[in-house]
Amino acid sequence: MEKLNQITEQVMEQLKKEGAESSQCRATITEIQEFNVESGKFTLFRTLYDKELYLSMIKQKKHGEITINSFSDSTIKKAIKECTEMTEFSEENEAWEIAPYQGEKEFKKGALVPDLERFFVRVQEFTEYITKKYPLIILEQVIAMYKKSDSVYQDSNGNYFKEEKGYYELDYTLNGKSGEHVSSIVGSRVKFEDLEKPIIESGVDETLFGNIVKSIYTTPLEGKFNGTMVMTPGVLVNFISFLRENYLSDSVILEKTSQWKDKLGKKVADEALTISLKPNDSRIIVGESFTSDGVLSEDCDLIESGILKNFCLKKFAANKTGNKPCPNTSNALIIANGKHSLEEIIKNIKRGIIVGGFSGGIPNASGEFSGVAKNSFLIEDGEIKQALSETMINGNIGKMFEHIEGISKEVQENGYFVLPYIAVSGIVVSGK
Amino acid sequence: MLEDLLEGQKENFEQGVHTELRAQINKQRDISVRSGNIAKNQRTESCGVSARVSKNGVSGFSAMPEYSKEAAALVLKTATQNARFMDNHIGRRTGGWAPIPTGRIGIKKEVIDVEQKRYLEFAKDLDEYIAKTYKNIASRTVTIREDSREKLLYTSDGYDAHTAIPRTTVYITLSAEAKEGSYVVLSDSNSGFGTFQDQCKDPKEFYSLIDQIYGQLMEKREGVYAKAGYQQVILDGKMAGMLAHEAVGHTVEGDLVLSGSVAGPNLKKQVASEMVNLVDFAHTAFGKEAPLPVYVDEEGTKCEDSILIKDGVLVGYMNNRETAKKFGMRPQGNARAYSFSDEPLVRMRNTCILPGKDKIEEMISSVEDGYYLIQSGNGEADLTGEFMFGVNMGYEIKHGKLGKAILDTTVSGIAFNMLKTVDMLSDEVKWCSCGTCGKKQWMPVSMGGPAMRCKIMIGGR
Repeated sequence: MEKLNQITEQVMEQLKKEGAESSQCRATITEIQEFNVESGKFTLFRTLYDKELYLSMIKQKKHGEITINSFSDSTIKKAIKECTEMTEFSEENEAWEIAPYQGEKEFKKGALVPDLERFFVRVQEFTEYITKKYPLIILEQVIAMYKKSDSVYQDSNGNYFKEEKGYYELDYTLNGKSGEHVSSIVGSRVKFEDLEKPIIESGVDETLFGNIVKSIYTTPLEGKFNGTMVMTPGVLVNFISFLRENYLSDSVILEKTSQWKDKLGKKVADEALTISLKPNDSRIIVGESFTSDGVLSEDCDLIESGILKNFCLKKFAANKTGNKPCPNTSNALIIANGKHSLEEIIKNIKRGIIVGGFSGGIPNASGEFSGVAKNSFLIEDGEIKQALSETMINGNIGKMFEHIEGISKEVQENGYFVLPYIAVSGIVVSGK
Repeated sequence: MLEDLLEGQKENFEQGVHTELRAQINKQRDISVRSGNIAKNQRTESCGVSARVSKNGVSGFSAMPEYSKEAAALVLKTATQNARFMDNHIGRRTGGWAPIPTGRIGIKKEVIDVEQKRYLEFAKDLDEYIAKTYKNIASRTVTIREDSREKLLYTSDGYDAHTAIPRTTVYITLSAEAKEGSYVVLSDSNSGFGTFQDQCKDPKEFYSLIDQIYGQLMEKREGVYAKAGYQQVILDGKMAGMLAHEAVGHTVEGDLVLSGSVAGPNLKKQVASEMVNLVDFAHTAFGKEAPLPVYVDEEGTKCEDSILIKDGVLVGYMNNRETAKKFGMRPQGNARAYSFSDEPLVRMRNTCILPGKDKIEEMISSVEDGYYLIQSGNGEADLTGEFMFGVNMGYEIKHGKLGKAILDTTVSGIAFNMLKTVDMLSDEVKWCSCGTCGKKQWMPVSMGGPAMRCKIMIGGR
């Protein structure tokens, strides 16, 4: 940490000498220890050390930034020179600004010292558990990682943040196979701070495995219908990401193509829906401490009871458009759960589909999306029927959250997010 | 250019195991001008050294963001220790890989850096051309990106190499207001092997790309939704390239075959119509340098073309040395790593469906009721052979003539079923080399193909 301190001090001093009126510097050292499993077998043990030095400056309302991965004096000197040149030839813009003074903060989060032998044993236990309980499942890939990073951030407004964090995560993709029949590939992940429990008890959604096995034998859908889509937590996170990108992100607000650009404080979704970004929630493992603008991260709602509360803007875009920046830039997604069980929600669906995976094009500017429903099942008259293949779903990402038919009381908590199942109507489901 | 600090390290390689020692520098220069304002002005570099040691079917890997003899020695030591850890814990005892030719390939293309200012001047020129020429658009974005990877590789039992792959892409994105307050957006790009200096000589060379995007955007403003369902389509060349990559390419990557991909039981079987031939080119295609030429992969295998489908029959997979051993095939240079801190994985290079003899005009006029699909934004594949890609630009075909433009949609299908419906192929190949494939790591790839007539599922209302 002392070394990181020295580096950021040195950089800030040099940026000041170059005439920076505002500047930022963040130096990070990362260590990753990773086990890989491929097609169910351990294949690789990887040890990575990485460094990152980010610096930015504002001079005469012009901005430049650079990122390098070396702390050598010569590389830093070269980076500062390049950053200065880039700044000088860029254009003036009043919107460039760094964070106001917030003081000095220190953060220590998660597992700061790894236990690799125990981690290996836990990963082995996980793979053996899956293989034994679900013999038709192939673990296509498991990336089991311990990640530790130390960071120091300083800026010219006197902000000084020190962060030390470490966590374990398991990113896995799997599929089912029986003879020549194979299911779609599905991915999921979990993040945890300690190795006290088996990984299967650390937020892994076991219903996924059962569904993959049922999806080995599928039936293509015939014809098309307008019905209800039930999104599993694993799919919901993707659709929320589309929503953020299409309606709330820097680019669409700056370009004024977002259909929600004038809707702050107004109703954009069903009142049952509250979407929050909460990096400080105890269910989020090692959440974001501060943003790239140098602002201490605070929990916030994007949508509260259907009302739009915040865009996902960084400082520049916020200043440029006269909006407030988002209090955090994390992906610590939490959606408030509902009162009814998933089973009760499904019982009320006349015709629909449960979607466990989505493979589709990015929604267009109007929010229209279409894509392939993966790991999905037909719902008819309140019952789950066959696993489907060659089935596409089409809808509008903004409009569909206006018609929520149910939010489950069950949630998946995997260290990254806390999400329920959500059923929405008005989705076109089409087959051959 | 990377100075060679690694050669002397070979004497530290452990005997009887496969070792790779690699220094690599990735650079990216980005400038983005949005409606006249600089939205992005960034330079990134990542340089370091890594080592991988493989024995008995397991590997140890280590990487450091420092390029020095000491760093090289340390990653070698750590990778060797990690390989021993795995071997002791797993004890697979599968033995080594089949021998491959040895030699050395030297650098063919140097990456020359230019000042960021020149990128900005170029982007500003294009931005001003759009602003001056087309006043009825809602927004415009010009992005210029040069990304390059230079590597220095030493292996225990393969080729050593010093190579560089720079690529420069100019992206243009325009949007316009359409019906009922909605917006339509269209992007396209020119991309190719080479530095900014090679690819961006005169902004005027890109004006025709801008004119083309604008024309299509105006048609898309009046666009209609595609009719959902199973349709006859003409896929233009870049779309066929996306198909080659997503629908077929991923299913025949050796590691995914081992995970149960549909390609496994279909080797040596008819998976496409007899007119379909598909190749993953290494460095030379149709007598010219391929869009992103790869001469030696990160395992030290000298690259050659991988013939995947011949006359509609699945004849091969893409392999690394481990999967090649398992399948009894020869590795052909598909083991690639994106950055110094990445281990090699089975990846594509320049994946292409070979051309036929038909003319595009005849192909369009042969379709009574269908679509002409021109451009894709993204795509995904599955072990089942089910693929999807987004379509950003296309037209209805009615009674053999192009009709209205269609709004954004998605196409999908099961690759080995869909390829059997191919019954016309144009005589011209179009390449897209701005693509980046995601599979644990990013990887610049190119994909290409002729226009093809086939049947496919389209999403829509």
